[in-house]
Amino acid sequence: MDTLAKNIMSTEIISITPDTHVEEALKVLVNNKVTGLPVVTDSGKFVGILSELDIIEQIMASKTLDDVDFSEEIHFSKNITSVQETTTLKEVLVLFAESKFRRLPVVNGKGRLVGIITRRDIMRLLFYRARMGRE
Amino acid sequence: MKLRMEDKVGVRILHIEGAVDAHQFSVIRAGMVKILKNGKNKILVNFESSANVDQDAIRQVSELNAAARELSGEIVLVMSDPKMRGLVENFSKPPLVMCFSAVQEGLDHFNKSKAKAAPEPEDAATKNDEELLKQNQTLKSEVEQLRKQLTETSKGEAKNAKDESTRSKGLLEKLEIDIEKLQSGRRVAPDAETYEAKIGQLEGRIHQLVEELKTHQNDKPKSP
Repeated sequence: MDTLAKNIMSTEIISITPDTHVEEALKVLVNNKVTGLPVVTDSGKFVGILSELDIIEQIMASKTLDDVDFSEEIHFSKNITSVQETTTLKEVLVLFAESKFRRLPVVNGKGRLVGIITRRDIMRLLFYRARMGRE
Repeated sequence: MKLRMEDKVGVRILHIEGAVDAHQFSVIRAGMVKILKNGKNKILVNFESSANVDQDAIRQVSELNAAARELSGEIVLVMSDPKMRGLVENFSKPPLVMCFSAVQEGLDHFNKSKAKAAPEPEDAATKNDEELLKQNQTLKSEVEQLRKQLTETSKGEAKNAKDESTRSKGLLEKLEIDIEKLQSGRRVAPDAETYEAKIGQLEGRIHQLVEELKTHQNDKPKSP
């Protein structure tokens, strides 16, 4: 039986909502030592990803650093590729290889975020496959 | 034997119900290997509702635990029977696998390990904030104290300067009066030359007046 996204995804998700302010988003990113955060609506629907680059681009849009409004709502990346719970590990690996994504959100049939697969999750998985051999 | 899998706060829980013999344990082991191969290395094997586990099973769990630990993971057991727990705890010293009496205890162990490995960032931030707040308050009070001292010093210095200025002014006025007095009181004794010059001037003036008088008399019409 194929390994599926739901078998390898992390279900401990730290997410933010679209109305999160830049300052709050910075705090969540730094305190949780992550480089990106899934953005979900109050009903749990996945709508995008906020990356560190998104924040830098938003800040750079201001004339000077003194003009930056940190109380502004985040400008996050929409139209993000996500996978279903039933997507196979091989398909996930292909997506990682072809798209250079750092993370892949896993959504259910209703578009709700149920997990996330990061490159680190893949590294851990590969290590144990190497360690356990053909067991 | 029945197997059931659950995911709680990042820990994969493998619930085992019913008696476990050597053959059945191989199935449990395969389940643990599969979990590890899926990249999940925090595993809790719940033997709460199962009868017994032999020494070979403990050895095999210990081996898998060593693999899990290679990437900061861990496999822990939950056994409600104290005799069974004793068996695991006495299998080796120190025990190769942690054994708890309830699932929640095992989950708490994972949470503690997580906190120990990397302190909860939010807490760390709060701790830092508190320290900074304390430092800030100390610095503020020091600054306030220094400001007070400075104000007092400035006040004293200003008063001294003012007194000095008043005193200087008084002295200056007194000095000016003295100079004036000295200047007005100064008498220069006239010498002979001055007298001669004065006499000369007066003689000149007399001659001038005499001449004017003569002219006036000549210009006056003569009475018949």
